[in-house]
Amino acid sequence: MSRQTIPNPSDKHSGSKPGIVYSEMGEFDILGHYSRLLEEDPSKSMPIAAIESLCALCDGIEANTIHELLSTIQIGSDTLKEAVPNAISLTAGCDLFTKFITRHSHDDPRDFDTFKRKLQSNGHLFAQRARKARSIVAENGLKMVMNNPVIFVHGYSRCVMAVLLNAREEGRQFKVICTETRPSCQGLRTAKELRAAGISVAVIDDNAVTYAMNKATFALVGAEGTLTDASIINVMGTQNVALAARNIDRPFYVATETHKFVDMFPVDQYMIPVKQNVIVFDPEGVEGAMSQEGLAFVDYVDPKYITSFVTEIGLMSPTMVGDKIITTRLEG
Amino acid sequence: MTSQMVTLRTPDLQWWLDHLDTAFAPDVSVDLLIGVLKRRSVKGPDAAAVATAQLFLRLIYAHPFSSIGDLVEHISSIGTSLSKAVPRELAVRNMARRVIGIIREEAENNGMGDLFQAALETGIFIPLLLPIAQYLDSIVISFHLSFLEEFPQVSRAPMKSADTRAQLPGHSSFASPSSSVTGVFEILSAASSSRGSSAASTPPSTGIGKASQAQAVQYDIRPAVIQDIQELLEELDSCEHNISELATQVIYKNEVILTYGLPPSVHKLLLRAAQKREFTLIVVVDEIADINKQASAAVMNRPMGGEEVGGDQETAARKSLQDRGIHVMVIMYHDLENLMPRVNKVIVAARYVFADAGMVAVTGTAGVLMAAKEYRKLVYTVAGSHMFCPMTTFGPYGLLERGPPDTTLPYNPERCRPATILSEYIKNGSVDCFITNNGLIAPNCVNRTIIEMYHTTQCDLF
Repeated sequence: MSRQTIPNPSDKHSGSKPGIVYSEMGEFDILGHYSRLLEEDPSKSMPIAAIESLCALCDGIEANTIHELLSTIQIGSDTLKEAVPNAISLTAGCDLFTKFITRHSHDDPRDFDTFKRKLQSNGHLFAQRARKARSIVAENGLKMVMNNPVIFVHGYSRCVMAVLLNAREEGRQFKVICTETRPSCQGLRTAKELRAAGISVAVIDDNAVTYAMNKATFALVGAEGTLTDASIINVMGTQNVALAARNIDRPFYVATETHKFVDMFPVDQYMIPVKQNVIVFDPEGVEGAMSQEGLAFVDYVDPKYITSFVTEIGLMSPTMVGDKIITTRLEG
Repeated sequence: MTSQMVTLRTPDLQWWLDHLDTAFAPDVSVDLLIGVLKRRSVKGPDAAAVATAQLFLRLIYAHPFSSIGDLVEHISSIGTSLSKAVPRELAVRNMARRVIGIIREEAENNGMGDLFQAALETGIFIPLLLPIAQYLDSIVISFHLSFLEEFPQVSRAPMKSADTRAQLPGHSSFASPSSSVTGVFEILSAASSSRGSSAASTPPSTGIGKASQAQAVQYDIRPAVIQDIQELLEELDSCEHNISELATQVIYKNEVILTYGLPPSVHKLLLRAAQKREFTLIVVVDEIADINKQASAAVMNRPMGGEEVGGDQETAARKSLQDRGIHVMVIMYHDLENLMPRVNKVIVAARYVFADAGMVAVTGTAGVLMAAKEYRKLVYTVAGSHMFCPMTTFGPYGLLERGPPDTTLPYNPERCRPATILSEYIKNGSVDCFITNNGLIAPNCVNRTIIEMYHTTQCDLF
């Protein structure tokens, strides 16, 4: 933890490096912590890492009042959101944590130290529950794998992997058609891990989605974030899969945990808060498609193509998802 | 009529209600209802709902109240065994969920929401949700109420399950603003352990003391619960009447209405509309015995075979649709495509409606709805509030009911037994509006309605 105890009076905008929280109480490299968490545990998803980083921030910063603590958390989550190029699922985690803390700040303001300590361990509890969510998603998803289906998978999603591996463990028979998902080759990773578990996988070219969809029983993808209108953000090409599935009436399922629900309302794929240069006319010195190094492009899937969400609180239709997110907003 | 005779009698709903009035005994009655449900002599959402709710009313009355946790455990274990009897008769489950919802509401009204929550979280409640379906026998199904429904709600009761509490003992006071929670948990466990010996409201001797909620634990919420269940029964009773009150909102003058068969709920709606408006009615019938019988009984204004005595008199007294000036046409299923373009509205009846607005209905409904969709016709579905299930499903697995092979078809049963499926699953998206006893509900609002009706936060996965 690269925490520095020397107080830095400068406010965060005058700070030189991105991803570092500067405040009167000290400074904290939240981005560093966040990336380290993700590196250490590849199965950790971004919202969880964000929550844990914010926990660490609460720990690292010497706040003396609740107000200070809250503003630190706010600054921390803003810093993190700015520093990470694709901050959608991270936003979900930050918002949940902020909401959680804000609500608790009214509970027990007398003994601030105890409050802070409890807050911290609750943050861990929070993360622990979020991890548990995935295994529940896997169990709920089991009912989807009925009658020897052929499942169409795109990209690499921990939730989808959990569902498929769990189904395999439970003795279900199924096959998987998986796209390569170039250029990130996430699909190859999926295929590799599924094959290692003894599931038969056909890897297809990204262009063969519509060609192969006829042989699939349903499509199953994960989501980086689920937005207020129940649209999802996922790796580029997901919309293709959704359209191909809709075209021949195959169910399109999304496996995701509810902590990836984000209260955000883009109306189309160009309004999502990720800066990506997908369409660039006559770029200098680039012949092919724009490079995706450093940032894998994401795609937006309209809710009308989604059959259902498989979450840890059951199977939800897009309407129910939207309803859930709005209810959460009103509660918070 | 036959109900007065002391001859052999199918244990139908009337028989069951008589039994409850005369010979109710908690354990025996539960087993009897399981038997009755299993042999399908009480079937259909209406009858099953009334039968179950009546049973719960008496069970709660007879239950020696010691704590909310105890009550919830009692009700949910009985609910589980009842709904296991015929898993696809979802009304049984729904009623158990409604009763538990009522207990939750009353507990919250009396400031004992945390106690109820605790009762849920200790895992007592989980068995109730256990499905179902011989079809899914191989699957290990487990439900996870113990897990948080939603993160922001962590704050309201973050200490959900007993094991998390054990792991993190220091958090309980943080978790919930009232510092007496730990005490209350102890009280709760003490209360349930001393249940066997202590009578109705004997306070458990341990753990009372300073906490103000300690007295609350002892507060018997049963009178309020019983009153609410009685309201629920009234609601069930007046369900069809309340639905028919919406007739004028649904049916306008000179419209052409198409229905599939004429189930009693739709029939009553149409009769009511006929008092005010003139319209044309097209009744689609099919080879399916139920639909045929229903439709002919309704069109000829004759009572249906299985209806109770009171219903018969009412039926005999009322004027038929034709007498009220309605032009009625009965057509066969294969004429559907010919007549659909001339129709203004399609009204069908649902058997069960799910939280995602998918539904189970009598076989053949999906075909009618598909034709209606093809011609962009408005589709209304009649469903009582007891048919709304707090659950969603991946598909029809385990929900469909098979009947005996159709006797009218000249098949040799030794060579070929044509399967008859009596109900079918219809995906969401084909209905424009639900006509319920609580008013008209848009398909998008079904989820919200269900969540409010059952006082729950999430729907199960069937």
